[in-house]
Amino acid sequence: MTNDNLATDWKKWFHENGTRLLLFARSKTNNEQDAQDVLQEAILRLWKSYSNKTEGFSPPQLPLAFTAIRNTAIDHARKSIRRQAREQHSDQVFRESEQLLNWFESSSIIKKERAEEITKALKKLPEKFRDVISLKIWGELTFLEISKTLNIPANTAASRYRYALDALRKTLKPNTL
Amino acid sequence: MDNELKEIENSLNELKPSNLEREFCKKINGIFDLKTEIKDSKTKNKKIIHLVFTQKSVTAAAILIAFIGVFFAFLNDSNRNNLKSISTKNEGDENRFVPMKARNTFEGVSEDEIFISEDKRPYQPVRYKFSDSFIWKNKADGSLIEMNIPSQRLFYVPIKTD
Repeated sequence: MTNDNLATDWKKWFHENGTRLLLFARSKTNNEQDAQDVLQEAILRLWKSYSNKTEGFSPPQLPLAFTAIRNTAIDHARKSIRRQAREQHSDQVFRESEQLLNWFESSSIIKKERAEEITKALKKLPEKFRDVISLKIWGELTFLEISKTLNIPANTAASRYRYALDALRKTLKPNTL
Repeated sequence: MDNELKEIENSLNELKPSNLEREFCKKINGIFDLKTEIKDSKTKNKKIIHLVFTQKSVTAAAILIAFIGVFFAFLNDSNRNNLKSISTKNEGDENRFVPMKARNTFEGVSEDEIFISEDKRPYQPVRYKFSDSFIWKNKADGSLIEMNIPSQRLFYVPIKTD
């Protein structure tokens, strides 16, 4: 397989899965810029590790990509803790504007309002619940794959999913869904 | 799972993650064109010039110190031989043990594990091993007493990290 074919395969893979990967990165970070940085770093790590292989390499399976994003987000968070102290003010301003960003597509005003409401509800969820929801609904992973990605038992993944749905039900008004 | 939760699950399933910004997509796609650059960086990494240079300089310093150590050991040895001859001449009692030989022998040099000081500076410990041997002789019956005492000196050679 030539380099051009490989690049084409990976670009196609990213085109198909980029939105769900970014959504997961969003759920692991505080703002859009961090989410993009984390996703970019994760993709770069995957590409480098795969390109080190002597044989032909195809794009990674989704669970592996989500794991890479998770690990990168953890590293990024460690760096951010040190950075936050000196960027507290500007970060706060950025976060305020971040509240307006919608995580989902919205073709009409009604859909936009609903998407914003769900985005806000997801942001309020504890991260461990948000991860499972994101991987299950938009990552389309099984509970077994989620358990491997998040390094938790499959039963825990399933129960967190249920708790997360319940928490969302309490936050969102049923008549708006 | 009850109906309400199913309903929420369905409503979440209806949502599609928002599209990526064009600029961001360009950045990511740029990564997949990095193949040749990555290879270049690999060959660069293989050189590891700084590390090799550091190792060589540490080795050179260790050898230099070893030579200095051997020189002083030799000097020390000759001084002791002189002292021995003086003391032998002054010894009048035939029944006592008199020193016949004293020698400081350089046995080798070894490097210990790198030591990090409190101010976070790395040092390469270089250990020089010596062996001091002494021989006393009783001139009355010709009996000998021989003693070997190992000794070592530890030097901390600072490692350049810049």
